[in-house]
Amino acid sequence: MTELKQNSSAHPRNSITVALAGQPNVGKSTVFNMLTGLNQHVGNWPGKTVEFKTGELVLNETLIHLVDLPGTYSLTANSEEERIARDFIIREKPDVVIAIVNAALLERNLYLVAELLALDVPIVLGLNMIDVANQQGLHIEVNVLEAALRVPVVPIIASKNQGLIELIEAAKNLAESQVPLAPNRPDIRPEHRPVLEEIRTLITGQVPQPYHEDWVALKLLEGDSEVMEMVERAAPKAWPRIQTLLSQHEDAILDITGGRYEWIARMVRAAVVRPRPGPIVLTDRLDRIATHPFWGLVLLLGILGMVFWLTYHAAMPIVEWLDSAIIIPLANVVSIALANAPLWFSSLVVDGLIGGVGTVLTFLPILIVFFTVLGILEDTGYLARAAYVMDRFMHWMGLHGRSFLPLFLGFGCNIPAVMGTRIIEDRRARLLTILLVPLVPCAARLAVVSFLTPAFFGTGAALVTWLLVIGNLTLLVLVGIAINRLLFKGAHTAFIMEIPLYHVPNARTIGLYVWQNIFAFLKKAGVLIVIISTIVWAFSWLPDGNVNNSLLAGLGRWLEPLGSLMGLNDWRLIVALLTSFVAKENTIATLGVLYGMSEQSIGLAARVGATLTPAAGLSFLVVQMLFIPCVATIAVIKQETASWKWTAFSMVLLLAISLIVGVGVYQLAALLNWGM
Amino acid sequence: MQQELKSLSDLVSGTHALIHHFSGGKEFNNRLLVLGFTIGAEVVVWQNLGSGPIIVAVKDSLVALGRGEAKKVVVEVLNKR
Repeated sequence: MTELKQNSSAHPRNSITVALAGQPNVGKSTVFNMLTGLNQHVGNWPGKTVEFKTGELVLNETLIHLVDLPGTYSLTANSEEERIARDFIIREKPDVVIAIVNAALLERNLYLVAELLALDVPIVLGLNMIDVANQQGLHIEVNVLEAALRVPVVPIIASKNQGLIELIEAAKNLAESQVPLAPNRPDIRPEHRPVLEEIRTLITGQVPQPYHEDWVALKLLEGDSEVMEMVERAAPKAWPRIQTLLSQHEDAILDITGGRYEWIARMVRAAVVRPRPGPIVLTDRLDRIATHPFWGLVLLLGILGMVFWLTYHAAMPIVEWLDSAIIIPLANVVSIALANAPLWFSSLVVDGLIGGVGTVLTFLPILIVFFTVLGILEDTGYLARAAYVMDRFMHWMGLHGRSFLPLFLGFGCNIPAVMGTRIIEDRRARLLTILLVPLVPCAARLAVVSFLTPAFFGTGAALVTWLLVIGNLTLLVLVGIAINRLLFKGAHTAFIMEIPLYHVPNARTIGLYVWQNIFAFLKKAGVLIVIISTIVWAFSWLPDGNVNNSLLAGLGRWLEPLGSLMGLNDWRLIVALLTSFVAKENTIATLGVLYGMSEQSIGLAARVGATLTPAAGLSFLVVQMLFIPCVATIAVIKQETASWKWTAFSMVLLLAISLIVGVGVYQLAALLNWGM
Repeated sequence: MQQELKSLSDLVSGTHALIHHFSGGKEFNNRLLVLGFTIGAEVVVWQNLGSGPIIVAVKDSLVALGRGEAKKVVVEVLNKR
């Protein structure tokens, strides 16, 4: 009887490593999540910015280390993901590679399998989404496909957890099998066979371990830049001759890829029964709207509106509940318990620590809403449609639709957005996108704004929030156009993007996506926020326990002349903005400490609002929305650009924009008598 | 059958065509080839609005191409609808 466990407590006798490979949009992460559950580790590949996921499970006393390789279309050195995936297989030599393919897109998905087979590694094919294929009228004879490819093929429906145990069992059996597999491999077309043979002879004995000479020769003929560099270094004597041969056969890549697809067509010919010949694509009624130039935009703006609606009507009530049911009672209980302690200590715990923890807690519901919506949009395949619809607008900035995805992520948090720019291959487009990300208001900034706006503007709050977001996005476009024209001379990069078939989102995949992001937020930002709240408390306490004489007040008062240009005559508002540099949500924690001490809720916003004219309130919100990104975002900008110069540029740019726009908005609003 | 060569960007929605050649750089060609745009492969223009990116069906999948990218794909037109 087969027993599957998602932990290693069963004292397994032996262990194997299984790598999970697949093209994007084949349900690979669903397979990984279903198999490993919460027993997975998420990090980065050593020295890389690409996500690295591993997990463990036990099957019949065998411990299986499952490594989720990045989703790639091929194994050519076109992108960092592709290099990582092939380096892992070549250098780490997993016992088995499970290749996940989407049964409804079999031919295109088998391209990666054709490349994997060239690496001479044992392969099991996971034929996913057979239910979707059947709905489209495609019927796949698993036995026939297995016989043609001569590798084990296991039909699965990952989203319904069907066939996954059989899949992992097939991988385990293959790893333990003594009989080597002799899979059918794509062959190169006859006209290029002699040159491949000559290259193979030239590099014999000169290829560094653990690379295979056959594979290296093939990749040379494909014009793979990384392999060419490697051979140039490893075989300097043979290199001139190889180079001559390669330049004579520059078009070999056309033949090799064409040959692979012909081989795939032969493999699937007998196995796939189609209702009619020719390309069959699911005629999706949804796409009549989602990719429509007008309705697609309406849909996208509607979805953004829905996210805000959910934030106000689902997340905010929970935030208020957390505040009134947990934070305030806790602060009261602790105050009473510490009644005999020194005053500074009681204040440190209640105002500093509990205040900070309260801030972290209040952001959780909002982040959960954001990541849930984003996870659903991603998992259904909608985000690609959004990129397609937005492509024409991104063009103005010399960007393409793909840059839209990371910018969209910025609404959740600027940190994953900056990291998400790695889906853009072109360095210039990527850099420009990174510089623009901080102009996308993140959940933390939106939360601060949603917290303060009702107190400042009453019933007009939703409209003002919407206008602030539109204002930020308009500035983003303008800044993008300016940077592209001035710094990048109006360059442009290729937009080539798969539009995946729609599918029903998987609850477990989305749940894990939300959990991983929330966990990262708690680990990275949560601790920092508590520490900073405490530091802010210390600055506001020192030297004598009176906020008005404190160090922080001194700095705020010193900056008051600058603030008064924006109507911010109160040093406490300036201090709140300054502390938002550490984390955007600190604005509220700081205001809490400075205005009402432990008050975190609506009372605080009302108190702040009472001190401000509408014009000053508006300029405060504008500056809050545009200010220097938080420290954590700055850190990832440095990491992703690998340049202090661009990191500093980003900070100076945003500081200048926020001050100029803040002053402009205040002066304009005051002119319109809003300030009276 | 007479051979009519055109850029993919010039075809109206619903046109069937065969890939003839690319006029882009090596990396551009590679990315398209891998997605199934091999020489002689049949493609169907799924959506072409006359401006902005287009959507093409190839090997049962849908691929969005920027207008500039679609210009660099030269095809042999099979039929017009």
